[in-house]
Amino acid sequence: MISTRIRDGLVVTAGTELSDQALLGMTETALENVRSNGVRTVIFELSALRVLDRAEFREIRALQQMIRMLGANSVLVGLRPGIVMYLVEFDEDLSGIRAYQTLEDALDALGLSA
Amino acid sequence: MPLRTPIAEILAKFQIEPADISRVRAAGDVLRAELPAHIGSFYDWMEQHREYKLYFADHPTRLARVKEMQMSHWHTFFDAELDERWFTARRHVGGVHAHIDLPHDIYFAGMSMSGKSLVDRLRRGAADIADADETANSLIKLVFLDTFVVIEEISRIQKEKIAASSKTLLEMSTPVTPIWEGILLLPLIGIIDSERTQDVMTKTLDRIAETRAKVFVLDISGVAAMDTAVANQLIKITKATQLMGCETIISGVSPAIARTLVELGVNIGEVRTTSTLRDSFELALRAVGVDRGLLGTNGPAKS
Repeated sequence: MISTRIRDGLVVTAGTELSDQALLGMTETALENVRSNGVRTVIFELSALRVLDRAEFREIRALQQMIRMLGANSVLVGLRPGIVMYLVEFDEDLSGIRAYQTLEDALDALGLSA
Repeated sequence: MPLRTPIAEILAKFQIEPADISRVRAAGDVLRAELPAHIGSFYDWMEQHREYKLYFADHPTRLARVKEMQMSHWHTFFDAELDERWFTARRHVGGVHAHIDLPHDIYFAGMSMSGKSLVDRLRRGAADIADADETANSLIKLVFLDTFVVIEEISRIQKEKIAASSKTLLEMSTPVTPIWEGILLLPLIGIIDSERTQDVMTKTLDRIAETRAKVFVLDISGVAAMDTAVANQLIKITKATQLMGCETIISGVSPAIARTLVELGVNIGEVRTTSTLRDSFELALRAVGVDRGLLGTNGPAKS
């Protein structure tokens, strides 16, 4: 897991799969940066992710809620067609998710690009 | 090359034993001399059917060639070398017949006629053949085997053609097309079932990933019927595109479809829908940031 600060945004980049440890790291990094470093938007960059099961997806959703409670926003970037089809097929709750295909799209839409 | 049933297994199924093969070979010694007469009677018979006119009327040279090929076929038949080469040759004949779309009835009738003609000749020459009755049985077995191999190849080719054309049809029925920088359009036409919605989902998501489209216009004005299942599938597609960062706008919602959806209690959620493709296209252009000025002043009619 890698995180990059861009203005008041934080890009959290996941690897090819989400281990428990990676999820824990993402949670700590995101929440800590929102609380102490003035991050207003957390961008979860998931384009390297090859598999994502429902439990892992719910962990991400939960993390998004925590970020929300701390008064910041979060978006998902780069979900692959296979993962998307899987989540939709199993009727996962997808309401209120903001998502983008590429980091560039996300940064543009969030006003974080140079 | 698909796996085929081994020759030994086919011969066992047709109850063709070495004795049958040697009897047919022995009969060949007598019947080879009869082949020109046999083929003559075959074409006398064939001439009474419309297929004769269809395939040979305007092609006198073709008739001569086919007769020659038939002659060589019956010579090979009496050689009774039922090896891989023999099967390949018969399949080739099947391929030719599939190519000209020869109806099964005329092929079966022709082989039945040929079998009878040969057995008749066999009986007439019975004095020169040991065990003519058994030989007739063996001959018929081989004629059936011969027919089977040809017909199987014809139907295999036909199946292949059907599979290929239905794949093309499915392919053609889901033309997810980029119509503007960042905009994809899919006009859905005809009857929508679960296989098609799955296909629509896969194609759409792949195209979004490929083109990085931001808006997907799904035009359903050509959809024949809408029910709860189809509506839910379409809503799933809109949710999926959303996760790929692409908004779906559904256009072509007719009053009848709107009524059906409300009556069925389908919750379309936050999906944007319009009745005309024009309105959807304008929404889509705005969503990708095309300047209002470029769109001209004659916007959609307000009524």
